[in-house]
Amino acid sequence: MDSFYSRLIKRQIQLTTVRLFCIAVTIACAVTFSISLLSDRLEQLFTQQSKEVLAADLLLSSTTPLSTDQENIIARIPVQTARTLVFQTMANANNEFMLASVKAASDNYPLRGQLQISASAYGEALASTKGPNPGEVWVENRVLHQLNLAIGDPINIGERAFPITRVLVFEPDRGGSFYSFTPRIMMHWQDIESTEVVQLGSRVRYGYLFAGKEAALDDLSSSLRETLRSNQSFISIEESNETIAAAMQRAYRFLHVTAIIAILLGAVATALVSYQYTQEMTYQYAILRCLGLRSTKLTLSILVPFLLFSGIAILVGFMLGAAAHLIILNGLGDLIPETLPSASAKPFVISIMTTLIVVVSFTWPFLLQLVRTPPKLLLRRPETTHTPVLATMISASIGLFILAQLGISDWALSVTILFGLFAFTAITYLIISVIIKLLIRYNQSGNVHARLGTRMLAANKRMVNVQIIAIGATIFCLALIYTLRDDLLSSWQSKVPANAPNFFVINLFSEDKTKFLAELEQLGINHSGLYPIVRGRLTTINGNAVREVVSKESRQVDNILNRDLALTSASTLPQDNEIIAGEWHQPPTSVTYNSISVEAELADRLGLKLGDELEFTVDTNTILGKITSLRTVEWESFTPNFYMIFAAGNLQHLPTTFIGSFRLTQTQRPSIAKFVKQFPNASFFDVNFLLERIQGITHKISFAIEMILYFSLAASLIVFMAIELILHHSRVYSTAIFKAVGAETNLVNRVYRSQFFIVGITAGIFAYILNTIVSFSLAHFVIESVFVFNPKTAVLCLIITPILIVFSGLLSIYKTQQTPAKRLLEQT
Amino acid sequence: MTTSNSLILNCSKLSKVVQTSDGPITILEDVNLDVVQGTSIAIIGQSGSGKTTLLSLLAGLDSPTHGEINLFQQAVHNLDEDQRAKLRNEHIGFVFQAFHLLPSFTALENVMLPLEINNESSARTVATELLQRVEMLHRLNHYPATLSGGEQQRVAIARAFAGNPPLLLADEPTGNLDTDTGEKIIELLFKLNQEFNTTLILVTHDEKLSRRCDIKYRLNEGCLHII
Repeated sequence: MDSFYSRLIKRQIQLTTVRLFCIAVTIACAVTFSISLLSDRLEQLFTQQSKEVLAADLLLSSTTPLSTDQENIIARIPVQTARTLVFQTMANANNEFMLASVKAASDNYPLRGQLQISASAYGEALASTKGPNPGEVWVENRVLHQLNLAIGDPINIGERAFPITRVLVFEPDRGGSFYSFTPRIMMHWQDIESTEVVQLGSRVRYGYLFAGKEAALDDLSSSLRETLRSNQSFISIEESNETIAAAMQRAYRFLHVTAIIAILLGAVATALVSYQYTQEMTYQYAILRCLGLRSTKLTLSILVPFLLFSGIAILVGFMLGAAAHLIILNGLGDLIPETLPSASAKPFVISIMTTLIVVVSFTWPFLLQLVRTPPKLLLRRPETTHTPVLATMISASIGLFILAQLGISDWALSVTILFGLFAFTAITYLIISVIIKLLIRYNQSGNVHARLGTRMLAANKRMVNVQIIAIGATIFCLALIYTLRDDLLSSWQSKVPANAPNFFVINLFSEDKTKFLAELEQLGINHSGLYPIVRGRLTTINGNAVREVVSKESRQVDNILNRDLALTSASTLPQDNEIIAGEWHQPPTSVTYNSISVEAELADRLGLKLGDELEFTVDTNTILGKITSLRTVEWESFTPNFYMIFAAGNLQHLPTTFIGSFRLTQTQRPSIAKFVKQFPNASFFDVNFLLERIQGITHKISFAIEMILYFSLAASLIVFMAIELILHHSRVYSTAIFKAVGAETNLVNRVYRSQFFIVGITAGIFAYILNTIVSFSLAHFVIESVFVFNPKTAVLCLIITPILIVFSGLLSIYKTQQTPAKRLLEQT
Repeated sequence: MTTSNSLILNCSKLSKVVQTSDGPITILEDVNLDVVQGTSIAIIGQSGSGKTTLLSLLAGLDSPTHGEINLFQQAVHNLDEDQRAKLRNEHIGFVFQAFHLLPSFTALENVMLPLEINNESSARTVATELLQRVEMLHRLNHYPATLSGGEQQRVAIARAFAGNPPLLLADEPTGNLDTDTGEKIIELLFKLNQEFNTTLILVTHDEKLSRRCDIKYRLNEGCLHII
């Protein structure tokens, strides 16, 4: 290396700006790397867990066996396979009969996720990675109970008797219908034939489960898609209507947003340091130019150290990022499995690209300014230093847009973030100027410190703008993280509260209803109330048969049209439901028809609207009703939810049983045995396992998001330090002058305090306004949740920010305040 | 000599020693100085002779290693930083070689500064009047960066006289100016000094300039001698 460059690098590395630049780039890289590494591995984990709801990576559902061609395609592609067959049949034992839903599963079932089984009725659930062995069956608790059986007893299915070896507590792929009406019996695939139940034309559903590498699955899916018949369809996670998977998808998207925000903070820090670096180096480069350094060499003398320092910072960033990600994983503890999927190459590529984009797009306008340093600067300082604001904005926006694309591949989100940034900068710049003018005009007779503080702000308007925009952007990002995190968590936690019901009761007879409620009350058990249930099938819509009105595709997707629906009646709207169209039921006496409240999404899928008449067949009876309202339902609420709710009294003439949910604490748990004896016709379901699973995910995501929040805080600290560095020289100088003309330290202190307060409160107000706009847009258009006023962000922006800025500002100028006035005599 | 009631500054056996990695360096040694109200004093010396250090001690900008400084009947060496700042605000005006105006304040605001710190309600009027006297009325709202060296020093002189201080300390006031401008600045300084009846202590290496003062001292290797 030319000794000129080595000397240049040696000198530059001693500059605080260069060191801070390296720290900023290191942080940007460390943040990106740790978050992308973490996201990558957690994403894999989440995807893996969300696949559990299919018990596979890919699921093909069919009412007939696959054709030979289709089997050949599967055989050709290297994927793991398993298959299931679900059919309904009467099981019997001890001369008692019951309708059961039998699932026959092949050896590899489940390919993803685990079954939960127990060795005794209502015993402790244990995980199992495989289904029953040939020749044995696992049954739900209610089968044992209803048929008066115990583990080890035989049960007859079709022509064959099977010993019951385990109680089946949970199937990963049973989805939201965990309290379906027909209890499950699980057997081995091999045993299907021996039961002689499944004949040609039997109503059955085959599940073809696949797992493997993404490429192979893509290949399989595209090859099979071409051959699908109308009775065959792939079930995706979304289509599986599984709330856990939907929630995880949303959380995963949220992680990406937070990552983008944290990186943005690192980028802002880099830009600020570059600005200061340019300020410091301009005269050095003016001298070099004046001495005849040619422009190529000048450009190289700027680029070589820049690239070298960036390279070193990226390397250190990788190491720090990897360490940070390990710390986070360690912190997650038993929330995540011991063996997390190993990272793909994606985080490495993303980190390098992201950091380079950050470094280049956020710094090149400044470096370009340095390259173009006019030597005439040496003769006379320009009136104002030109800052390439527009160029930086354009360049940063392009960079940011690419970053957003890299991170979330989501145009809507990228545009929303960009819009927020632009709006913030433009509005802030305009309004701050007005605010400062007003402050000066109306602060002529105020306190001396406030007056001097305002004047210093006004005189440094451009810098103050940068400061307010940077602090405001940081606080905006943090507020956004809070808003989104709170939104995400509250939308889960409100749906799955800590005391969510963990048991369901179904088939409770009318005559037992009062007694059962009394028992619950007496034992102090929290419950959801009891809802009447009538099992009915939707047969006509406005007098036309469902088959004619609803398309075949819709019918296939909406399995509910092929089975009985749980119809209920209620006088009051269930707690978690919300009417979005029409009106809740009038008292039945005031109308001449049966009124129905329909779940809004189902109505949308089936094309139902207010005023439509629906007819249901209940055994041999029919019931007709008119849709008078559409409702949203919280499926995650762990309370009974219904597609169709009639007005109270509408179902009175039909055979009714009751359903409800309640919460048993650990000590109340033995009561379940008492209930089973006391109410022999009713069935009780333990959903504790599912509840714990959802709550575990909530905590896990919350922890990960908190960790990312800490990264953002670290990055914002660097932003703050960069601003302090920019202002340091002017502050030292001003303090010395203040003291030379006789200002006491206390006055100097108050002058700065008033400046910090104005900066903090202005930044806070802007951050709050912007956060409200952006989080509303995100909630409305992207995350698809309801925007809720969040008092926490108001406190963060309007109270904590000014206090934080005043406090950190005073802390940062503590040494500056000690600047002796004699410093002025030393500067000539 | 002088009567004790007109003695505004008195230093006795003033020493300043700084510690360096190569051991202690004595910058000032046993300096004695009496300054009487209304006089002008020049302290001349080569670069590095300790002139600026002496000035910073006299102004209470720095503390002596040994010795005493009494300024306006106050023992400066016993005052803390804030008490010295108050003393400066009330009694001392400063003119620096490098002007030292707040770059973010206009000319007017710079001159208003000592008055505002003292909570004077007439700060704006007084400052405007002073700027008029230093012929800078047309530059009231200009920032220092837009002023020439001479203009900046005029503003600095106006600021020095803003609080109507009895003592004016000037550190090489023409050091950063060309000869012509320097001479004009000196004319202005002495003119205002006379009008305000201010005591002037002028630190310079310019023999010619020093001759305009009533008393001359030479600082040589840390020791002060009257000439």
